[in-house]
Amino acid sequence: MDTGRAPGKTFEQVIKELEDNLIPGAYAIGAQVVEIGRLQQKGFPYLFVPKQF
Amino acid sequence: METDRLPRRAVLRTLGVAAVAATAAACTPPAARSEDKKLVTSDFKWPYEKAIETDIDARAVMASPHLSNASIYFVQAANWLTSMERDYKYDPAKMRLVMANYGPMNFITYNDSIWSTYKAGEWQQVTDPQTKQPATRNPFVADIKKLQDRQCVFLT
Repeated sequence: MDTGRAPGKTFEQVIKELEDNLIPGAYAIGAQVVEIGRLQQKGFPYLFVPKQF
Repeated sequence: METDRLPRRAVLRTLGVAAVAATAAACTPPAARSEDKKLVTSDFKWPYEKAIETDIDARAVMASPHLSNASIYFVQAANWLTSMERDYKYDPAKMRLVMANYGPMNFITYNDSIWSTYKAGEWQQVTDPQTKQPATRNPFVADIKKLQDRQCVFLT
């Protein structure tokens, strides 16, 4: 798999590196778009912030 | 269909019956046409769900994939929290705003090591306000901490 800017590393190594370098209090789930749908099922309205120009 | 062999009146009668049947079907409540099905939900839980599965009154999930939009993103989150608290009188302890980051916006959730190693500032055109150079550290940590202190949950 092409790991883009991390040549020589495996996909698993890149994911591990990212998980190990989160800011305090952040949660790695890796499926945020899916999670938005799950949260909507739990009654969380989806607020999309569009790009500002 | 062999309509050319049917008398015109028979064809019209057939079409009329079909139209009545279609109208009746359209007017029938959906619940009467098929049994109600309950939504099936998964028992799987992410660790962050402990933070939102509590006694809360106000909730929302916010997202924006554009890292160049980060400042507006944080302002919008703060505005939501402030409005719910000040104008709609929700208890701040009972509000949860989930920031479901994706795309380049994921960078806001990584520490300085990732920003430095992968030259995130240069790659994503984020300038460090202190150095005025492409950021080699996460310049959003202070903004995120303020939001976390107000019950925002950050995903990546």
